[in-house]
Amino acid sequence: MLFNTIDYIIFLPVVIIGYYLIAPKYRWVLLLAASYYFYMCWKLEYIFLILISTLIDYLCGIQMSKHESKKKRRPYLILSLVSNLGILVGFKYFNFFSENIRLLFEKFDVSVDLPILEFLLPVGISFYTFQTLSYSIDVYKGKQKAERHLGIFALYVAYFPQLVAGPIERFSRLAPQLKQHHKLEYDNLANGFRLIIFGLFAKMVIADNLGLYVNQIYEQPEIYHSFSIGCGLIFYSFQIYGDFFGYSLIAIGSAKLMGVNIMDNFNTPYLSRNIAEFWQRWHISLSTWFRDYLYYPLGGNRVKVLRWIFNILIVFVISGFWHGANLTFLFWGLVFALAYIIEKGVNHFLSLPKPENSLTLARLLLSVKTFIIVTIAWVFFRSQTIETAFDMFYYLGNNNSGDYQNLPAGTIMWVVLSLFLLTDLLLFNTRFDKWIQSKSLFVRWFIYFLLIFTIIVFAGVEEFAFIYFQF
Amino acid sequence: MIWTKITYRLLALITGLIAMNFIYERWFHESDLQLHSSVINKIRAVSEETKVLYLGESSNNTFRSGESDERSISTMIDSLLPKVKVSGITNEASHSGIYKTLLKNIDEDIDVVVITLNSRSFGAGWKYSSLETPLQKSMVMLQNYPPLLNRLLLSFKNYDIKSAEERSKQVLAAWSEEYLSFEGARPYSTTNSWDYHMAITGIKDSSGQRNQAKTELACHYIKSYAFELDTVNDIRIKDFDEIIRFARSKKWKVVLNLLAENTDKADLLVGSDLLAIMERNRKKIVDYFQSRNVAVVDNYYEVRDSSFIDQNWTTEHYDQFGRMTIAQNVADEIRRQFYSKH
Repeated sequence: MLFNTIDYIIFLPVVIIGYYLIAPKYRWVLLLAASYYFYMCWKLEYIFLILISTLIDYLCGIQMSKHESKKKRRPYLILSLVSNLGILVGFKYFNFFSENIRLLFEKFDVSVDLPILEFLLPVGISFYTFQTLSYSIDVYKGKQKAERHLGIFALYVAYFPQLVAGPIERFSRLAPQLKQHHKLEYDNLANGFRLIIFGLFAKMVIADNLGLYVNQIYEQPEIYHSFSIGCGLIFYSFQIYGDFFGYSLIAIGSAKLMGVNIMDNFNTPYLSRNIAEFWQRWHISLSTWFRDYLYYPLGGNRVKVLRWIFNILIVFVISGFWHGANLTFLFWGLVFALAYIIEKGVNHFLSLPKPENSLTLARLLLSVKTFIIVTIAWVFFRSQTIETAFDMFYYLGNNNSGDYQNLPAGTIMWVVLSLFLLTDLLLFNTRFDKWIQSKSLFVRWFIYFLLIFTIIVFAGVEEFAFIYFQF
Repeated sequence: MIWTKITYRLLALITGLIAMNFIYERWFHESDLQLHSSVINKIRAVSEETKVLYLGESSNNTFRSGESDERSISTMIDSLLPKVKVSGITNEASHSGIYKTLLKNIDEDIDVVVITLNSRSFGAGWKYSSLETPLQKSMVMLQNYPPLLNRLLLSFKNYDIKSAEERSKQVLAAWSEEYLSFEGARPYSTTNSWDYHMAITGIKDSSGQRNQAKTELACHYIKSYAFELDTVNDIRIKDFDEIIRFARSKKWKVVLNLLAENTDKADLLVGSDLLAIMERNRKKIVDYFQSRNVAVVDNYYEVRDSSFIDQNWTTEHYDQFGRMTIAQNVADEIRRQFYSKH
């Protein structure tokens, strides 16, 4: 079930009404059933993967909690890691490895017949796998007590607002809220709906409309003028932002209706001064996951320079690989890693002062630089192959004559894009629900109606699944 | 307190939506109709004097280049019934699900609706065709809801939306899972296995060589016509039932125009097994609708191979003689049933 469908518009209020009607101690049953139903709407049989993952991590957590020493806990952590990553690798990376091993052997004139598995990638597998892994690692480290209530643990893994594309929540944040007896509060309802409406706007109006032009450019870059290709690349930066930011807001808003606070996943990332800040503002739940469970254990920045460079490379490359089994994602990670390292180096050697954390002209100028780097990285992210990505850059540089076509982006497109840019400036370091709360009743309702009208009337009509669902 | 707050806000929202509907209808609706459901223009073009409305797909107006009579079937019927105004709406690849929505947008005071009944449209290849998603999408704005609600349903993709890949999977599943019945044992039991069998054995020409073009065409005939129509569960049948109910509620008479299929070629390429299935499906369709007191013009065997324009594909595109045969049969039925004094 997708957030931007009539099915979800019906499903969500039914769940919310049921949630507040039934006794708090049974709410987990309703939410778990709703979450499994939500997932099974997509593909029934893949619910078993979630069930397996849930049971293994639940039991491993219980077993780890019985032992004080890490040494005795370790086998259960390994079991959890192997089973979760095994499922992830099996479904997501098997064909990638299989194909690349075959190609490698082919270079030495050796024919290897490795199987190619033909099944759909389970939606959200990377998200819920990382979520359960964080639990197992925290229990192993003693940071988290093992959950004894199987229902609550299963709900933590499968909680529908953030099941298929995050935010990737930690057990210590989400589970206590799932156990809490939330009362029906007006502010939760109001803020929840505010976030959902703004999320739908970002996804349906911004991302889906831009997607049309982006697809045209990526399908036949050779026929378009450099300027149009440049616009297409910029459009993709906003498409993926609108898409994922919109999804995250709907997820956060849906949970908010139940009184549950899910962590923010975005904070005006395109207003970042540098790549390091960008990753503190973009897909925050994933970058903090990598920081806590990979970067810090590798030593973080409290190591020698070469080792630090190695750590950065590892984190970004694995982050790229997390997104998908394709070399394009590895390049995407590498571009970020190199940009990150170079920026840090330049700042260090030039002893540049840290700019203020406010919306100044200096920040805006720096954010343009960051945006250009990020847009270059997105070319690898969007392209199906490395060759396509380099072709895009080639055509961007060479299609300068009048023989090439212009992208037929309509006025409405530019208007909504400008509106979105404006909202990003207005929402700097704040969230839509908080920002709008400070406005007068008249302004608030004017904005609500404007957003609702825009969503209904100007939403893109071509189907674009949420981009991050594929991960 | 909280319920009062919620009630006030819900009322404000409803008022706002009503105002938005007005704004949308006044300034945006028409351009959306033209953009997403341009078939509305064909409905609007139906003249007010129309008494007989002919709904068809490409069979209505496809002609062979260089023909002396390039008129559509509906225009031919119009000339055959000089005292009754006959108009046609042609929408490519349409079927009962689409006709249903089109009919609900007809405001004219008509007597009779003639609806094209294409037996191939009951097969998996058409039911799950990749054309289905754009067709369904084009109907959303034509539903009988307030314009803003129609646009909301379009924005939230509230129609049968599937990718070409998903459609193709549906077709393959139907072809491999639905069993065909034959008199006696056959080395094939489903459309898929029959198609495979034909592809392997092939059609040989007089010199004993495999004729690849004919073999491919035979396979195509199998995929188009080898299915067992289930009149109880078929979605097309259900749509036709709804059309009949709707037409009766508007006091329109319904004539179903069962189109001719190229049975000559089916016999030549595949043989009696396929003809038997085609006949069984034809009979099921005719019996089903006649038992519901609907007039069915049975043209199934009425057009010969030479009158089919597309010789290398299965279509219901006829030359002028084929179209005239169909038009004559339909006109005769309309005259006999409803305008005997004309």
